[in-house]
Amino acid sequence: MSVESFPAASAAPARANTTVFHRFLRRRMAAVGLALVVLLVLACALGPFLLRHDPLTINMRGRFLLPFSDGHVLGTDEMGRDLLARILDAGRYSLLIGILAMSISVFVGGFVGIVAGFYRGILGHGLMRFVDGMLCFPSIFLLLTLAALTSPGVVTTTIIIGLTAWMSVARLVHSSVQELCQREFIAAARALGLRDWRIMIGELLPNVAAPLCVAATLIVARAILLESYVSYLGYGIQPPVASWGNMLQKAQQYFNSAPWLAILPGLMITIAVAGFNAIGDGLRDALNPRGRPG
Amino acid sequence: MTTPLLDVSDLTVRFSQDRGKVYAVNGVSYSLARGETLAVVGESGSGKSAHVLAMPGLLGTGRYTGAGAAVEVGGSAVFAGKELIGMPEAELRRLRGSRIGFVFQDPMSSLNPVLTVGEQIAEAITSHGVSPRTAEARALDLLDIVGIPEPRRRARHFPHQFSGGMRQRAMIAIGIACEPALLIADEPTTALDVLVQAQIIDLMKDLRRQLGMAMIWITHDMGVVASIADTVQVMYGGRIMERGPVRAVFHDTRSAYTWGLLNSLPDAEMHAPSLAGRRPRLRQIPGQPPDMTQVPVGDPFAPRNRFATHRCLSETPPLQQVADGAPGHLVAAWYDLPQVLRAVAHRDASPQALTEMGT
Amino acid sequence: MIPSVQGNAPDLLRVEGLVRHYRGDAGIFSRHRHVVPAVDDVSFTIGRGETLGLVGESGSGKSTVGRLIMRLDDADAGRIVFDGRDITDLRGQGLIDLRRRLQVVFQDPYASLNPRRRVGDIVGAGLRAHGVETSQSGLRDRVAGLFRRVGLDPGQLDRYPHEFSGGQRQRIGIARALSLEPELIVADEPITALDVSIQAQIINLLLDLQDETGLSYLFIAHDLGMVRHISHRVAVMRRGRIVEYGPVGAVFDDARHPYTRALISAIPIPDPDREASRRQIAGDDGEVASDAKLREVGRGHWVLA
Repeated sequence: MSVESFPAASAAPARANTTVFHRFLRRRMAAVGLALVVLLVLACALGPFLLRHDPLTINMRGRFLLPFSDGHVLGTDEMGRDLLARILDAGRYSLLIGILAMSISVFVGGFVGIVAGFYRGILGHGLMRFVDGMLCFPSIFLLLTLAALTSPGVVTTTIIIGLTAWMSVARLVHSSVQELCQREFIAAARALGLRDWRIMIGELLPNVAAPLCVAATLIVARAILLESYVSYLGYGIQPPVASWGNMLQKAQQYFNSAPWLAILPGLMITIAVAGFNAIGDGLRDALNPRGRPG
Repeated sequence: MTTPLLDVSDLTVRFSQDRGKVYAVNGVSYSLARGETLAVVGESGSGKSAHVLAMPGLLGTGRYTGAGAAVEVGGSAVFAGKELIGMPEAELRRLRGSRIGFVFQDPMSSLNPVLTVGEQIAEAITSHGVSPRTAEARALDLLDIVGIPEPRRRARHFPHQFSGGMRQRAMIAIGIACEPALLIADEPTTALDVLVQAQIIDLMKDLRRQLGMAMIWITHDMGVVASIADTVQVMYGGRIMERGPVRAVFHDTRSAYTWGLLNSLPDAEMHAPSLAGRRPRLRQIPGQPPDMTQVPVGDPFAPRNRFATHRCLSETPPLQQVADGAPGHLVAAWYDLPQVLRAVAHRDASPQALTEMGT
Repeated sequence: MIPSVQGNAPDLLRVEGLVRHYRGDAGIFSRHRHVVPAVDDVSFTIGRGETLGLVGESGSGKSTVGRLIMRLDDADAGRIVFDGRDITDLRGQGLIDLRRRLQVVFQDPYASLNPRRRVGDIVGAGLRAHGVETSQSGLRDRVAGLFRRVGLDPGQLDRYPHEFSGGQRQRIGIARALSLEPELIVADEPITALDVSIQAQIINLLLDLQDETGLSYLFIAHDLGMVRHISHRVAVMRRGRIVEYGPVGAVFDDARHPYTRALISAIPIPDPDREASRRQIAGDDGEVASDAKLREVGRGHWVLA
């Protein structure tokens, strides 16, 4: 009778109204975050098709136009390019880089975490010491070092960000896999004669999926931020292709005369990062029904 | 007739959580005399722990419910003339540990790992207004009373340096530190080995005699009930199914659930099995425990009871004195169990038929 | 010297002088780690269709014996012989093949089922992994058959473990163990975590399955009443050693070792009258002498002395 947690013992079937999604939406911040992110993604994905202005068309006679002037909703930049078109186009790269870099870190970190957690011995210890070693470098220096050594571009920026963010995922997955391996269902899987890869993919992966999802959304936010740092410092996305980071960098010289050029991309970064963070927090609560309610 | 120490009437407990409502306790009434030992028996989800812990305000601390579950307690529980339900938390806290003591199932998680055992016992005493010096001396006495050898040395040890049985003894010392009028013991021997369990039961019997305290002992083990209880109260689905003097309930069983529990246990007198031939089966109770998230209707045991009538399924039987039974022997049943059993025995004379009770 | 009562019939399982030590948790900077013997010179046999009950208190090493036999843990010394073949150091494919014949039912029906997988997949995992059944529909039929055999509704294959009660989950665990049609099942405290009204159901199910298929059980438990009911022979463990071993009748009615006697006398009897007259024998706290050996005191009845 050691398992006497009260409500669980009655084995109530999960009701439809208590799905993860419903619990998620019940948290106001999470719902707002999700709405913001969806809006942002839709705007960036569809916006450039709907706008009259091309993000790369230069118009030297219409520089630094104020918002809501001459058909430019958000005005124009130092080369007379439509700011709204540029922000949405930049968002495509920033969001794409964020999501792709997240995929790389989740894949690498998840793989290393599961393998290291499952094989305790030399392999597991070796992998985790490597992870610790990587974590010892401040990630921004690592990022800049790598960025300086490679030719800048969308692909290299994505890979570099992905490769500097996977260690935290590995640690998270490693510790939860270690805990799972103490549970009897893993012993049961071994007793059934399941091969190691089957146990890792079929038994362990579904159980770390929830924390991985949470980590993934938080990493997207982090990756967007990292991309803007790198681009701001001139190593990331190269003009004329716009990203929120390099727009900020260009805008700083005109901050006194045309502050909206800096404020608007900055605002986009803030919205995206806050939105993804809110989704991550909401997911963490929703996936853990015993956690605190919203 | 003296007033009872504890008088419970129509106590209800509900948990509200993400998954909906849990109807944990559905109208429980009884009284407990001073010095009486009541064993509350039931399985998980029967409401045995929930109803006892609800009275001193110990539910909703996250121990028995998921964090965030709201607890609603209704009805009345009068302890030594004071109503407990709705009593302010500060007043309840004064009561706990002074007039009502507790012993829980898992002493490891109930003891603070970073304080010595002596400190924790002394703390239980000083928090109720005794000087630290007196409390320290009293803590050593208590360790001696609960049978811990070399109290002076052991008082300086930390909980992890104690064995499971020793830890439970230390918990008992804390529980009885202020000589409470009522000791609530929630499965105090379930986590212990059988030899240690026997020692703890003996210790509790001695203490009960010495201190003259009443005791509510929550358990699922009919053997433990038989060894310690004056009165036994069998619970199922958040209700009292049967209640009475221990001999009456064991030897003149009136609830089909109690009967099923007692008969599903292996008989120590059963012959040794041989490799050849069919071995005797236990008389199992069919079915699964009730879903406590459903609004309770009728006799909660009815779906698993082969003696159940239509009335059992639709109407809740009241807890009533057994007509021809011992005084204080109460049962909640629409059927008359002895009569039903006689009829069954008559119909199919083989005891085998009872093996598949309900199937 | 390996005690056996099976006469000339070959044993299905034969364990000889099994030893497993665990290093004490003394921290990485401690120079000398004390070594705790979890299992110390344990020997027994299990015949075909037979149930051996292994009883002892927590920490007696009884569950470790189960894990060693299941090869979920490696022995430091001794031999495990299954159907005439030494499996002590089996690895790789040989070990995977052994799993088909040797299965396990765990104590905790909550921890032993993967919460993120459908129960049909849990029960079918072994069949799929061993390639016994490769077609999707064939697998489903077989799993449905297993569900019926353990008394579950095959219509519930697509549900998740949390939708079942403790007793039903244990039936799922039993169905999983049965799926590969093993010859021996190690049942490690299979009813300890279950409600009293459910325990008898599971015990009866185990007995039914044994009658139908002739499989053998190593039934590990601390509930002596249940062990007595289900076992043909019993081994009593204490501090890693077997102190008494023999047919159920002999061990329970004619216990020779003081520890066995104390254990039996300490079980509360569910009868207030008999309980009042129960005489409890004090447990002996004496150390087991390291040179003590099992000696035969009756037909197949061995006592450590």
